[in-house]
Amino acid sequence: MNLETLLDEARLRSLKRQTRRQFLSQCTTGLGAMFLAGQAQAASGGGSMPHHDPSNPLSALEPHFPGKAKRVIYLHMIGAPSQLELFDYKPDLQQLDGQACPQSFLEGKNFAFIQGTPNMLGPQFPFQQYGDSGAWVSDRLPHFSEVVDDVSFIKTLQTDQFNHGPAQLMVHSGQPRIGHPSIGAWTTWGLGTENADLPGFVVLLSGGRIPRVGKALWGSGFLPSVYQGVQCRSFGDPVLNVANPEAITRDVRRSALDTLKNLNEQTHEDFGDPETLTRIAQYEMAFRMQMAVPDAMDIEKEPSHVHELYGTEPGKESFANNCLLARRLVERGVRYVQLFDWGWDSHGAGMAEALNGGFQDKCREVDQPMAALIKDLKARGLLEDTLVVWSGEFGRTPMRENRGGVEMKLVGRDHNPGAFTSWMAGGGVKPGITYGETDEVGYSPAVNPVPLEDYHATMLHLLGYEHKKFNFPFQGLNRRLTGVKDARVIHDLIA
Amino acid sequence: MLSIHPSNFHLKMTSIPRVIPILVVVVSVALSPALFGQVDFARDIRPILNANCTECHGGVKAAGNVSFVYEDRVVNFNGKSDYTVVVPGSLEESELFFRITTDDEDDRMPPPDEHESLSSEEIDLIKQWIEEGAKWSEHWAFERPRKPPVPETAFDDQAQGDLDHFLFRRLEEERLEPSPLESPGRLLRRLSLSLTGLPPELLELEIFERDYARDPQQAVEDAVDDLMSRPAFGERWATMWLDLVRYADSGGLGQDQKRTIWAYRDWVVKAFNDDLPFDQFTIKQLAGDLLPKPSLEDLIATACQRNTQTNDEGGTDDEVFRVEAVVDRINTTWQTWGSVTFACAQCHDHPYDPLRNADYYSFMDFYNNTADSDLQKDEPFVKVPKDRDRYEEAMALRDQILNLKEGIWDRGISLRDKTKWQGLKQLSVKANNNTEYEVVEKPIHDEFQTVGTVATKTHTIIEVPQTSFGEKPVTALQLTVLPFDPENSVHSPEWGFLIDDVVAKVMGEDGSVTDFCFKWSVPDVPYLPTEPMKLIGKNGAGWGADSRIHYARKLVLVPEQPLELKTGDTVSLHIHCNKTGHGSHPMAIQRGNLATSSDKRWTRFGGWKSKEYRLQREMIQAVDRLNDIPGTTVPIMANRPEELARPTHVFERGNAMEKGDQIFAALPDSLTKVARAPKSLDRLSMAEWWVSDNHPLTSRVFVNRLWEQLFGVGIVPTLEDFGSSGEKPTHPELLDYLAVRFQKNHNWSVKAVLREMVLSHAFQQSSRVTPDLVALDPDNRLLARGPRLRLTAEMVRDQSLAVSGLLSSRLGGPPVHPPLPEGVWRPFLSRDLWETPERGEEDRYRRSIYTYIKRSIPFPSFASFDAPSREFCTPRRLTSNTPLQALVTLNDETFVECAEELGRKLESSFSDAPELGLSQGYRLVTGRAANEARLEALTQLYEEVNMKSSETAWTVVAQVLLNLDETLTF
Repeated sequence: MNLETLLDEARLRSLKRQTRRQFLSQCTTGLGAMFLAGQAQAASGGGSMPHHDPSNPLSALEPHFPGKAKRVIYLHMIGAPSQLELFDYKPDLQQLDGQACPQSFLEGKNFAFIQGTPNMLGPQFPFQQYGDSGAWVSDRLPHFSEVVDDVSFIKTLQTDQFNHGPAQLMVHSGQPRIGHPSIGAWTTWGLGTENADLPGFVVLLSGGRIPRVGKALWGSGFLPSVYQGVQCRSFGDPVLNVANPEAITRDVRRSALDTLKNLNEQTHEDFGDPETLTRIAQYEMAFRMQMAVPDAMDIEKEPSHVHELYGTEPGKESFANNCLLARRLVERGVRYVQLFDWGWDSHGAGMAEALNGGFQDKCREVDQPMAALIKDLKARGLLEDTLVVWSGEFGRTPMRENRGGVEMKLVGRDHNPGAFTSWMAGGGVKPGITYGETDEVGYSPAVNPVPLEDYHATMLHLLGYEHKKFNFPFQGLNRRLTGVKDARVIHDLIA
Repeated sequence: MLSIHPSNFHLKMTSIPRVIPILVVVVSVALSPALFGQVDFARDIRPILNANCTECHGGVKAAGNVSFVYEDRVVNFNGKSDYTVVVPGSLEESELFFRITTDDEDDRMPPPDEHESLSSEEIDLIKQWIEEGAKWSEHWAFERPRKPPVPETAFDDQAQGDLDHFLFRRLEEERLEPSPLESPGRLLRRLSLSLTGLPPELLELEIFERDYARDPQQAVEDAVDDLMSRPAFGERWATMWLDLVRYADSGGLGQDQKRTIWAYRDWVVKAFNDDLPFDQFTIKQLAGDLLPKPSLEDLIATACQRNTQTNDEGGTDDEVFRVEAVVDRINTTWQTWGSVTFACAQCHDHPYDPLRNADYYSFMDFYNNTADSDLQKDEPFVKVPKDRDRYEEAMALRDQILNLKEGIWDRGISLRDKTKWQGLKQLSVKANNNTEYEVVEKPIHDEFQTVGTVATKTHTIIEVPQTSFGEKPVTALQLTVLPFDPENSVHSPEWGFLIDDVVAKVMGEDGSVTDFCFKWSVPDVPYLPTEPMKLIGKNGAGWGADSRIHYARKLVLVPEQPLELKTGDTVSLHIHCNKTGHGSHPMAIQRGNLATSSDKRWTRFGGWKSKEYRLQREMIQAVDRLNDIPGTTVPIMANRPEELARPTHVFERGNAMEKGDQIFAALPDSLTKVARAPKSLDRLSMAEWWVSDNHPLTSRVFVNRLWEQLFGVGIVPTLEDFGSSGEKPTHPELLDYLAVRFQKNHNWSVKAVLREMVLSHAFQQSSRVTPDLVALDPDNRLLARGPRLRLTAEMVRDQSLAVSGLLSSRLGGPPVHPPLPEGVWRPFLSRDLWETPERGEEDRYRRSIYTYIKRSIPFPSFASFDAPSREFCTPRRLTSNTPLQALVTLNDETFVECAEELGRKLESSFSDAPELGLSQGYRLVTGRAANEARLEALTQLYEEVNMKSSETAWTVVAQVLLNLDETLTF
C-alpha cells in the first residue's frame, strides 16, 4: 500500500466533515439516510460525495470539475483479443517465428497454459499504416482503419491478473475479486443520469453466455444497489419485467397506478414517512420507463443507411446491433453503456478460438460496427463528449501456446498480463496518437507502461473526477476505483 | 385505530435550524462536559487525535516513531527527536503540548501548511488530560461491557421493560418523548414479519385483536412466544446470518459451479429454531471438527467457513485461491463476530485501532492448516443422511471407516519404519512424451529430476538393473517424490503430482517381459481428503499431492510375490500421472528417488490371511453401507496431519507472493488484555475465546445485529465497524446492558434477548412521525417513534406468496428454482440447469431462503430489493427505492401469479360482497382496516376494470394491494 496516497486521502478528512454532514442531514429519505450511514462510518471521506436529490438517487450532477466526457461507451472484447494480430505491429517478432523462447522471457512469469519453453510466433496477418496519424492496423480491420485519426491507442496497458475472471474484474472494478463497484456504477453514482425514464447504466451482451464472473462486471459492489448496471436485451423484455402481464393493458395499469398513488398518499398522511413519497415517485418513473425503454431499444425505426453503416439486422443479438443501440442510448442521455462481445480467447485449442480460425470471424463481426459507431457519433456531434473505449482484459503472448508441453495443431497465443492494447475515442481524448510502446516482440512495455489504475484515473479525469477524491467508505477504508496504489492521470492522452 | 402522535416537543424548534443533524448535536454534547468533569481519553482525546494526528502518527505511518494508537508510543515515550511525547501531569515537559501550542511554524503540529490547527477547545482538552495525569483508556469497544444501572426517567410509566428506561433517558435529554402504542393489528403484523418474515393471517389478526382488548401485555407476550416457536422463525433469522457468512450454492469465480452445501443452510435454520446458544453456535461453526467426539451436526456447522469463493477457471493457481480463502475466513471471522476492520491489518498496522500487522498473520495460523485447497470437488466433505434419524449411524460408520483406515495404515507404517531400506542406483529414467529427466548421483541413491518443459500426461518410466538390487528377493519398493525446489516449496508450494497407475515389469536379458503387480501400498499419511491415499488401482483412484506439494512424499509398493531377479534382468516401473491441474498444469513427478528392501515381513504383509487384509475388507463394507444411506454431502473444515502442517509466514506488505518471517498462532494483545488468551492456541480455543467471559466484542456485536434487524438502525449504526473510526453507539449503556444480559442472564439465548427487545415499548410504539421529528432524526436512531422498515428482498416475495395462499411451509432441502425471467439464466456451463417447477408444484412456492443462489447470476428480484450476492461477508444491507423494484412487484411472473391467486381467493370468498373482499384484502396486506376513502378508491378501481375486462378486475386490485407502500413496509 502506498503511504502517500493514504495520507493524501486522510488529509482532507477533517476539512470536509462538517459541511458534508450538514448537507446530508437534509437527505431525509432512503438514499440520504444511506449516505449518512456510509459517511459516518469512518470519520472520513476525503473528497466530496455526490449529493443526489433525496427522491431521485440518479439525479444528474456535476463532477468535481467540468469533465470533457459526459458519457461513456465501453466495448469489451471478452477473452482478450491478440494485440499482435490487430494493433501492435512487430516485424522483429516475424524474424523470431518458430525459434525457442529466450529463458529471460519465462523467468518469474505465470502462464495459464504455456509449459516449459515455447516457441515464438510471428504476427499472423499483414499490417499497414493508415490515416494522417500513420497508425498501424492489421488487414483484419479494414473498416476500423478508416477511423484511426479519431482514435488514440494505448499500447502498454498492464494488469496483474492472468486468468479471465479476475482480469475482467480488474478492468471494470479495479480489483480482481467480486464485490467492488464497476466503473459504470462509480460513474452513475457520481453523475447520475440525464434521462430519468431510462436506466443510467446499461449493459448489452452480444449474445451467448454471460461473462464468467457474470453480473459482478457491472455490479455496484458496496455502492448502493441502485447504481448497478441494468442489462438490456434485444430479444424478450428489453429490461426485465418492463412489459405488463399479457392481460393488463396500459390504461388499466394507469388506473391501477392512480389508485395506488391515491392510497399511498393517504398512507403518507397517516404515517408521515418521506420514503412513501419516494416510492410514489418511483412507481411513476417505472410507468414512464415502460414506454421509454422499448422505444430506445427498437432499432427497426432507424433508416436503412444507418443499418448499412453498422451492418445491423434487427431482432438479432449481435455486437453490431448493440453498437447501434449504444448510440441510441447515449443520444437519449444514458450515462454509461457497457458492451460485451465474447469469443476472443485465441488459445488455438479449438477452431473457434484459433488465430487461424474463429479469430478472423470475430474480427469481421466487430470491425464494421465499431468503426460505424465512431463515424455515427461524430456525424451527430456526440463524439466530442462521448468517450468510447475498447479493450480486452489482458494481452496475448508473443509465444505460441504449447498446451500440455506439446505443439498444438492450431495456432494460438496464451494470456499475457504484461502488455495489451486499448483504444479510446472522443470524450476529450487526444485523437490520432499512440501512447506507450512495447518491446520488440510486444511482450512488455518498453516506454510508458500504463497500469490499469492509471487507465482508470484517466477515465475518471475525462469524466471530471479527481480519482483520489472520488471515494466511498467501506470496511474501514476509503475505497476508490483506483485502489490504494498510487495512480496517475495520463495527461498526454487528453486533448 | 391509529393513535395520534403528540407533536408537543419541548425543544425550542426555532433556535435550532432543521438542517442541523442529530449527529452534530451528539458530538457537541459529547465534548462539552469534559471541561467541567474529568477528561476521558477514549471519549474526549482519541477523536481529536484520530481526526488530526493519526494519519502521520498512527498505525500506517508513525512519523518520529510516535503512534497515537498505542499508549507505550505516547506516554513517557521518547520519539526520534528524543523529547518525551507526554509526561503525565507536566505540560512543560510534554512535547505534545508544546507542538500544538507553539507559534513557530516549523514546530507546530499539525503542520500549518497542510492541516488546520486544533481549536482552542481541543487544546484545552488535551491540556486538561495531561494535567490530570494523562490516563490512557481504550476505545469503548475494546473494554469489556459492564452492566449499567437502569436509569429512571419521566416516562417510566410507559416503559415495558428495562430497555425502555435507557431509550427514554436519551429522549428526555433530547427533549423528545416516546410515541403512543401501535394499533394491535399493525403491531401483530410488525411482530410477525420481524420474527418470522411472514405476515399474520386474517384469523390471527382477529384473535390477537380480541386478546389484546382483554389484556394487551399478555396478548403480546403470547403472540411473541407463539411466533418464536414456529419453524418460520429460523428461516427468517438464518437469512441475516447467511449474509454474514456469505452462503451461496455456487463457487464464485471461474465457472461458478454448483456447490452442494445446503445442509449447512438447514443447520443454521435449525440452530435458530432450536435456540442453540450463541456460544455453541459460534464454536461449532469455527471449530466443530475439533470438538471432542464431534457429532455430524458439529461437522456440518464447520461448512460456515467453506462458503469461500473458489476458482475453477482453466489455468488458475489453486494455491493463490487457497490463500484467498484463508484471508477471507480471517476477515469474515473478525467482521462477523467482532465488527472490526481487521482486514486493514493485512498490509500494515491498523491505522486507528490497536491491531498490528503481525496480529493478522498470527491469526492466519489458526486457519492455515485446513485440508481444503480450492479443489473442484470441494473436498473434504462429509455425508449427510436425508433422514435425520440416521445421522448417528452415518457418523458411526464414518468413525469406523477412519479408524479402520488408520489401523491399516498404522500396520503398514510401523513396518515401513522398521524396514531397512536400500537406496537404488544406476537408474535410467525417461518419459513417454516430451518430458525429459536427468539422473543425478547422490551418496545413498540416485535422484531423478525433470529438465525443461514438463508435458501433460507424463508417465515416468524408471528402469533399474538387477545389479542395483543385490542378491536377495525384492519384497518392497519405496518411491519418494520431492518438490522440484524443496527449499522454497515449504512456504510457497509447487504444483503437485497425482499417480493414477503403476505398471511394473521385469525385462530379461533375452528380451522376455514379465509383468508383476502390487498387492498393497502404504502411503505416508493415513488419510487426507485432498491428497488421495487410496490404493493405486485401475479404477483411477490415485495417490499423490493434489494439488500442491511442499514436503517429500513417500509411498511403499509391495509386489504380489517377492521379485527373484536373475542376472541381466531390469525392473521397469511406468508411473502414470495423467491428471492436470485446472486443465493446464501437468500433475507429474518432477523429482524423486527409489529404495528397495528384502525384508521378509513384507512377503506376508497384506496377504489374504493377514490382519490388514481383514481390516480392509471390513472397511470396504463400511464404506458401502455409508454410501447406501440416501443423503447429500457438505464441505467441512478438517485439519491436515501435523507432519504436513503448513508453516505460516507474514506476507510482506500484504502480498502473498512475498513471504516474510514465520509466525505462530496468537490473538491480538489489545484484546487479550481484556479477554485472556487460552493457554494452548488452536482453532478450537480461538473459537472459544470469541465467546469467553470478558470478550468485549462478540456479545455487543451480535445484540447490535439483532437490534438493527428489528429497529432498522443499530445502536452502533456502523454494524461493520465497532473500531474508533466507526460511529459511536447512540445508547452506549443500553448496548452494554443488552450485551451482558445476552451473555450472562440469558446464557446466549437468541430467542430470550429478542423477546426482551420486541416486548419493549420502543418496538411496540406507533411509527407515525411528524416532519419535525423526521428532520431531527431521519434514521430514527433515538426511537421517539416505532420502526418503519421496508421488507427485505426475501420478505417481499414470501409475503406475496403467503397472502395469496401459495406459500409452501416445507422446511429445508436442496435449493429450488422458482420462475426466473426468460434469458437471465445463461450460466457459463450449459449443464448448470434452472428447471422451474410448473404452476401448482410445491417447489415453485418455497420460502425465498431456499432459492438457488448462484453468485454470478443473482436472482433478479432479490438483487433489485438489495439482497447481496454473497461473495463476501455483508454486515448490513443498504435499502434502496427504485423504479426497477416497482417493475418486479408489478410484472414479475411470481408476483403476477400471486396477484392472480390473491384476487381469486378474495373473489371466491366474497363473491356476493366485493366490497368486503376489498376491505379484507386490504386488512390482509396491511394488518389494519381500510377506511372509507381507501375502500372507495379500491371499489372504484374494481368497478372500472370490471367493466372493461371482468376477468382481470380482481387481479388488478390484488396487484394494487401487493404494491401498497404499507404492504412493502412493516
